Amino acid sequence: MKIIILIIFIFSNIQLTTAKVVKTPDVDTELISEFTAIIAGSEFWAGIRLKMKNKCHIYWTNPGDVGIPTKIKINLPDGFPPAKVFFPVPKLSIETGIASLIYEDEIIVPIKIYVPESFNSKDFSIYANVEWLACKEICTADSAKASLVIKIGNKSKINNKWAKIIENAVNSLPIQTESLAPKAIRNENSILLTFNSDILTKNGSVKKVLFFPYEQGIYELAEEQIFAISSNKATVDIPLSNLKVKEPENLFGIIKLVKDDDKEQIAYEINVPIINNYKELK
Amino acid sequence: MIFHTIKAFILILFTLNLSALANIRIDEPAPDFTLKSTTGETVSLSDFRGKFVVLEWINFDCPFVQKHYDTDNMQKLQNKYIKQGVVWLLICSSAPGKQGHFDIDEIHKRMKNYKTNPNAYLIDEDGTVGKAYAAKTTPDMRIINPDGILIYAGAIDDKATTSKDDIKNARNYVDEALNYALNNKPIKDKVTKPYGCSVKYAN
Repeated sequence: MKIIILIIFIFSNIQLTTAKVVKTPDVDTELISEFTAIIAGSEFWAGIRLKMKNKCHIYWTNPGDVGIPTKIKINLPDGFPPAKVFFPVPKLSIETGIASLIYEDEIIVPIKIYVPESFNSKDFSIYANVEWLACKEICTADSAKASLVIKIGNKSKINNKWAKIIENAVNSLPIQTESLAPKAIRNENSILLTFNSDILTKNGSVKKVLFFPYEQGIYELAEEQIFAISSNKATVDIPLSNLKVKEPENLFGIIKLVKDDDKEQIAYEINVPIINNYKELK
Repeated sequence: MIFHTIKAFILILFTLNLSALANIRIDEPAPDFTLKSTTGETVSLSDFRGKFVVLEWINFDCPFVQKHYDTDNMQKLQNKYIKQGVVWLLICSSAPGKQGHFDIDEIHKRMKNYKTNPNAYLIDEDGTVGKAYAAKTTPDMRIINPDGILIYAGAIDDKATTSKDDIKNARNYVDEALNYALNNKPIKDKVTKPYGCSVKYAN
């Protein structure tokens, strides 16, 4: 009898710590968490692990010239505040003059979840509905529904399999800092971004800086963004599209620091009003 | 003769400038071009001066294009405006060996299956015209007015998905732009963000 109880106990714990991988032809989806058990009234990080297969890629929230954004919808029990989804920094891919902002291989999309203090069940489920367009030479739209059960307890229990991986993914998200002191000026065919270069010195051998806008259809991402440093200022000249959908009022997006090894992801979030001297001159 | 020589020279310059960013802008003259159609005719944009012209970038194997052809959405739009004197040109900029590039028989078979009757299906396999018009997706749409001015560039509609169910609730930008233009009204959205597969240009 004790053996049966022990087997049931072990099996139930395996279920709690091992979420199901949802397999589709191009992408495997899995909901993961830094904890297997959490205290009510606290916040924690979960994540969606997306593993691209067959050398496919999927797209960032701004896909660039082609493709469609990856969409993630999180469902939590009644009374929970909405989960916050943080997309990681994408890669800029330019082929035959067409720019895409993509994810390849494997990514973790961090999700911040708060469990209300008043929540008094023994556990709760997180449901994620993920939609993507997976492309190699041919594109296929697909989706997956993943879920994960988290236990509520008196003590948080760390998930050794995923905690470090999620922590790394969170640490790689774009940083919000005032020390950049960014300024953006509208030129005839581009926006000139200026910011404090101290941040580059801190981060080692940065060979260039790329701006990725959150909004679609404004910038010509396939064109070179000219990067320069002089004294304590760095500049990035960001070409505007000749066929832009609107005149941007703010420079809103992320700047990615591209290092020699191109492995470490360092990015900063930018949201600065654009000084439109060009318009004034006209 | 001199006119033809100058025209050929301009076309050569155009071809040499492929790597440069297309300098196309809304409310400015649309670049002229000459391409072969699937029926063997030589078709130039300037042949249609005095008429509204729609350029539609096509790749019959792209799921975004199939969304609009499987549902008859694109064919209905083509028929609606061709009847009103608009010239509708399909342009395929897929390079040989890439998705969407077919031999003539296959193109005609696909067109027949889809019951599409544009004024011409034009072959742009070196991508010259696609790049001149900054065409990046299939579908990608351009509208040129009777004076040869580009008056619309962008998406077919506002539902950037492959779902056929989205068509009924979509705002069709091309329908709207043509309707305004034919009635001498200003177009509300002259540039929209196109969506779809990438144009399969030569490497």
